Amino acid sequence: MEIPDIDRILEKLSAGARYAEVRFMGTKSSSMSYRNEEFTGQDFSESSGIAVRCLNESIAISFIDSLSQEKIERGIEMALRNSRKPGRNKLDQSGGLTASWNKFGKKLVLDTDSTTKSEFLRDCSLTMKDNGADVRINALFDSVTESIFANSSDSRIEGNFSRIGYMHLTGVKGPDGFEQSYQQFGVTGGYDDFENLHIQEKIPQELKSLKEASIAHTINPGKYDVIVGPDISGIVAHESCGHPTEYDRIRGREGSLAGESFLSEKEFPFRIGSDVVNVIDDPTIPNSYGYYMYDDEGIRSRKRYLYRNGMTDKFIHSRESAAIIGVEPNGGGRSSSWNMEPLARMSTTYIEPGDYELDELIEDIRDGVYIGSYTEWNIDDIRFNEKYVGKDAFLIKNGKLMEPVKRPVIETTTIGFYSAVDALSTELKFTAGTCGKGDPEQGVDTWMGGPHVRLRDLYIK
Amino acid sequence: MSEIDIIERKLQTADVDQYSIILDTGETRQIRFSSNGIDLRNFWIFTDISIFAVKGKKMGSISFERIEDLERKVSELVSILNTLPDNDLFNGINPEQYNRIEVKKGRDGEVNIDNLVETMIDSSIDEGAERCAGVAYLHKGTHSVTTNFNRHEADYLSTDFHIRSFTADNSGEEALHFSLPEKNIIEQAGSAARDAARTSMLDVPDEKLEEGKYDAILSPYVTGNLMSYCSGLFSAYSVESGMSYFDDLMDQQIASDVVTLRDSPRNESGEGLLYFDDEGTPTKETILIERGILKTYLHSYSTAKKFNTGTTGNAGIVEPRPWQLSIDPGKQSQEDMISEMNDGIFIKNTWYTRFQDDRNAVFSTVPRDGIFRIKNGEIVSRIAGIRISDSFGRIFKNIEAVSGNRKNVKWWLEIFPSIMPCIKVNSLNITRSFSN
Repeated sequence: MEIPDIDRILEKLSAGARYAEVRFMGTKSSSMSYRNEEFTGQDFSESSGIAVRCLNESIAISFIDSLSQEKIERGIEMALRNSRKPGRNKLDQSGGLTASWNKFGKKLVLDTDSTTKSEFLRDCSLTMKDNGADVRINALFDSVTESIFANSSDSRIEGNFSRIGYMHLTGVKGPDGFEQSYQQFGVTGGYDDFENLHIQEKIPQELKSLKEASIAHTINPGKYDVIVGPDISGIVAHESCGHPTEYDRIRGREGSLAGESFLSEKEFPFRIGSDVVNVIDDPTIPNSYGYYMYDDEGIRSRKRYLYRNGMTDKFIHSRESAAIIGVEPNGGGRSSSWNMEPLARMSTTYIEPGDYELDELIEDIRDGVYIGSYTEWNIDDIRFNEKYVGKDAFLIKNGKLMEPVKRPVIETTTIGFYSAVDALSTELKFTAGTCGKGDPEQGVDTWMGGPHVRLRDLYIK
Repeated sequence: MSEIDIIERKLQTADVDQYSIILDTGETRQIRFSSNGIDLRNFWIFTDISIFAVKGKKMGSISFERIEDLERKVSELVSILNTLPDNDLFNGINPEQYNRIEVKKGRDGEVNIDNLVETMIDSSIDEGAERCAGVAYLHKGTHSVTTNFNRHEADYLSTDFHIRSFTADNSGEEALHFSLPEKNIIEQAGSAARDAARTSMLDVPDEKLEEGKYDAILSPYVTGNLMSYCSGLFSAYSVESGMSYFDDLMDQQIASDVVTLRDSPRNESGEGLLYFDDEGTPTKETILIERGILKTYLHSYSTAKKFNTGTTGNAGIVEPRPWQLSIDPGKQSQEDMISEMNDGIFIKNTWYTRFQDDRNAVFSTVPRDGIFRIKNGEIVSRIAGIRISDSFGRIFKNIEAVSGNRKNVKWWLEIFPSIMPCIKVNSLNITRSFSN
């Protein structure tokens, strides 16, 4: 990809601004999909451009997709003109960093041919079919990204990486409904890292569980001791810890969109649950789908405890949100593309494992339910009132897993969930997700995960 | 030679049988605001080039931004096409030749969005709300589609904006879209802001609503959200996939007879205005549900061939989609619906609509920005923490009334540009979190 003269653009922008940044990002991506063994096409995309952000009376960004000098000049001129209008004008201006990082793996994305990819998708689809799936939709997407960040405070960071993602939607027709499952996996790295996910091997168990659920009974509503699997602990970590601790949300920046946070106006640290609850966001986990060494604002990434011992701890910050309260940004400023503003975003968010084995969690339950994963889920706009409809679920009687149950529903609150946690297993598993935020909406690649988590006396319906 | 001529000439000499070229160029301005102040002004200059190509039974697409990359990208596409699996079920790009469409309308009526945002913030404050947040856009550009058989081009100019006003823990939100020119656009933005503020300020006591079935009035935003999330189920692609609730229901009564749902891409009031689809077929008014009866799925040329019918002008060549849904207006006003309701609820907005069973359209969604209890024709209390947990099948059949007044609703990624009324739904299933 051809890269414009970053230094020259920065020099021009800096001449008219109190603070200036230039960010180049270029991505080559490919996606292909199958539907019930029918190949439904492949799309190749190449997208690159620069974002110029400047600070004067207010903050302004221009996004320019062209190498044309005329368009670059117009973009710079518009950013400077807009930044002289009234508005908020706090933006962290730290700099002085020079670094370069890469994450490509051994089997390079650009060296992996379409036939290899389409055969993998077809094989997964056939595995679903062989295991009784009535609907089989899957897709594979990979990308290679080059990025350069430079600012007027003498930072210059280059980051280059590839990501590979996979999703499938499958389902089984039952006598009174359609039991469906959506799964997403992803890595930052190469196809060697992707193969380590062993996706195809997971499919038979997933279909077995759907078939069992299709003829299972629903649960009698009431209070149960509950064990949720890593899929659910992951989505809970993402939705009811990661999102409400994005500091721009806490300050109302996303108010008209995905909303604010139940933590707005609270005094910190604020208790959110039992002492055994720790939730972490960590962009540095090797090969994780949200891996990065420096964020899209040139800030070094780092592991952050968001909830620690049942209390709020750190928040996720961009340069803008950090400047509002005069703290250092902590590497949470992410942008999905060159043409999107950086926002405070998650990377890999997970509930920290404990020291129990799954068997030990189960054997201490007299009357309970195991909920391995989920289908429908949602949460309110302050990230407090949430619902997870279970799949892969079984009753627990006297310390033993019993018959499957169909779509048990957890409909609780963030504090209700975390306060009910009394023990966690040692294992740690992740699934991939595309986290949406901002306007225009931008989806960033994330992992979410956790261990098996035991909750006491939770209402299930 | 124009950019599109250069691209088409390249495709004409490339080793492909059919092609569709979509070229978008333009500029977009955006202002984001929160807590009564402006956070950011964004400005985009863009060129998007998308090429869909067919060779024999193989198909693929590329997208890129720089005309300088044309030679390389087309070469890549041609070479990769040869390595892709066949698709025996694809029937090609629409070969029918139509009169060329060339629209130069979208050039006048530009709006100063700084003034628009200032008006919204001032109006919300003047009305009495404590704070507000929102976004305003001005889109300006040219959209063209060129295939082996057709070439069309249209200029466009549009605006959309939304505002959420807050008073204590309560909020109200309005979100509108307009194709320009449109009369009194700044005044309409101010009016929307005052509406959002009034919703947040409505001075009624709080009530904890128990789970159960309630008669409900759903605002144009809730109606728009539900229609947006079920819109994909009308696509022939979803039906073929085995994932559509509407599979096997053609010509059957799937909704109450007060419901007529259309795709209205030629309605010039809204931002969903579109004259031709992705394969150059002129768009048209398409009735999806007429007086409650399912009349058609959404088709491209290829899916229509498979269903032994004609295209509806909704390509997505592989995956057809709607452009601008609308529900025909009824006779009552929203105010009449409220005053005639004996006991029920009024929901102003909703978000995070998710399915547990796509085939049977079983879902839940989280109401927000104003949920009220109605008794004896009056709003008597404010509700929080509930969820609509129901199915589209039940909701469609339980629509008792449609309002006469409609809004051009569009909100973020939750509501596609659409033209929606209030609807009254009987026996809507409401759930809530146990511990709140």
